[in-house]
Amino acid sequence: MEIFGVNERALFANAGKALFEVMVTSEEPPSESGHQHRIEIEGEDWPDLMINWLRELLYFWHGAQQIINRIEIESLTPTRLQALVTSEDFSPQIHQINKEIKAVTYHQIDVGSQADGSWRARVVFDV
Amino acid sequence: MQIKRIDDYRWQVEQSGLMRVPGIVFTSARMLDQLREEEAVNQVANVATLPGIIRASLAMPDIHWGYGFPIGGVAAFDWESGVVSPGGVGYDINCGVRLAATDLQFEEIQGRVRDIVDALYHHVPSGVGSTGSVKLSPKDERKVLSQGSQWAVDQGFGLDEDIDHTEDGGCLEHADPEVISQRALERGRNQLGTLGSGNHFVEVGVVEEIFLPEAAEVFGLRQGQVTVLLHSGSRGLGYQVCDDFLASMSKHVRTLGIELPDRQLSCAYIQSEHGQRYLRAMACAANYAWANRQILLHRCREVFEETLRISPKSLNMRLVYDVCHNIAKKEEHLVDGQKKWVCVHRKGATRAFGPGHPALSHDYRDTGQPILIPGDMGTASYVLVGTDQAMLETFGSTCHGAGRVLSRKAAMKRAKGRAIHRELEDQGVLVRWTGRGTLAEEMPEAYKDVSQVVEVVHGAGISKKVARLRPIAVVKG
Repeated sequence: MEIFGVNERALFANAGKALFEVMVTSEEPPSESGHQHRIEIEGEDWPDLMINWLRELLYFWHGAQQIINRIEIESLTPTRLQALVTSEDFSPQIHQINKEIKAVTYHQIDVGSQADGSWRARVVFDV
Repeated sequence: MQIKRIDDYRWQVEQSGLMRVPGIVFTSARMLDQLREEEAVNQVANVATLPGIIRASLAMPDIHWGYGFPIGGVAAFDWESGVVSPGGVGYDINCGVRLAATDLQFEEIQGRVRDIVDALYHHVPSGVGSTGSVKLSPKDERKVLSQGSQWAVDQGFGLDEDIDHTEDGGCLEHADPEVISQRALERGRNQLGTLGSGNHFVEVGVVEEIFLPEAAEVFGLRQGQVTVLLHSGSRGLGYQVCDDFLASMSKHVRTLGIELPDRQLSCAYIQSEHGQRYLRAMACAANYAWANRQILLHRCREVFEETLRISPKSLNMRLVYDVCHNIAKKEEHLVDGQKKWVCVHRKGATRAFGPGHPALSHDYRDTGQPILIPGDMGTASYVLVGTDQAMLETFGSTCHGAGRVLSRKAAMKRAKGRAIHRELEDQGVLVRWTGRGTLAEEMPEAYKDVSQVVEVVHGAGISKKVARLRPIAVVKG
């Protein structure tokens, strides 16, 4: 998957949203009464941070059958991320599973800024 | 990268750069042309850079690119000075196959295949997020992780003789549930007895041709006989174990000064605390997978008995063998004429121990072990037997399946506008499936021709053809 953002914060937020958009289509707008979680992630560098961030979000699906529908990146450095995310419970009446992402891999991982100042990442998922 | 032909079945990837040993790819000239366009051969070379690798980085003819190690890769590392890598085992730890034979002939069930496939579809939980009929308490889950198949048999899911026909008796004894994360435990709790999604399946088949009658007789196979082939693994628990250790080892490996060409090759020395913890955790996931396939086999027995209204004795669905194809194991092999303990990584590769090996059950000690090679769902699957040549050349290993030739995305594109299930039905294969897109992704054209793959390992002598099975009904996750 290729992800873009106007800056690094947007890139990480978009990556999280894209992860769930690939997996699930919702028939309704995101629920207002979701569960809120503050997440803190560490990594060795930008690519490692991206993998660990997506791993953490993916666990909401695998561990709790929840879907992330709102992401606010509160702080971000190449080795640390703090975010406030909102999740809602999976419901077969509202959500349709398109494709399950089983894992986030380091395969050909690439995260960085581009010539025009925007950010781009490439992440390969195991499906 | 230079690739040199050794003979009709073996190609050498010449040692260069950081490679410590050469690569050897078992393939044919025809399949090699296809392979040159892929990243898989580079991955064979990448594996050859890891510390302690012995003899060569090997690849079987069903090789295709994986994460870190190629799928179809085999690599042995010195037990004292080498490394173990979660990427060399894969996410689905102990993904594997089991084959059961029955006393039924195809003619006896010909008119009932639709009933059987429908009943299998309803009674064998499959698909994304499927949960099993077995709900585990935390205490029982730890028993599953420690005991593997035996736990399932003790709960009534199968027979004692099933254990004897399972690789390693369906249990790696060094499993230690204490090293398993809470996340992995949570993911495992509700998924036991489920097939999963993707390329996992239950296939009802018929023995179409026998190549080696003596071995077929020992394996209990005869022409026209109805069989059941199961493909599944350790489900979410195995994925989480792999992911947990990839995360910790990618940090750890930086402290070792090992230069990695790919982060997915993260590893730890076998003798280190990190290495030992991974092996103990991997063993837990392997045991979970064996218990899972044991329960799935039990479900298949129930479905056949109830659908056909026959007794267990008349059905006589007996396990021929269960093999794993994503694993790292401590094994003794001859290296430069000396017996040596090594850690053999098989990622999308099958153990192929030859006659006389002490690890084999008494029933197969004289023939060598049965090897189960599923093809795509439209053509054929094979039963092979392990050989002495495999012991000498591939650390007792061979191929594991047809191997993908189209990515899932490319397969979806190729299948657009087609009714794959009808095409298969026209070929005499009834299919039931759960996931959207599963059939397109798994259609026969997405895979190499399994017969070509099998001809290579047969021709190279690292296993020998025993029988070919023709699918008549398939349930996909």
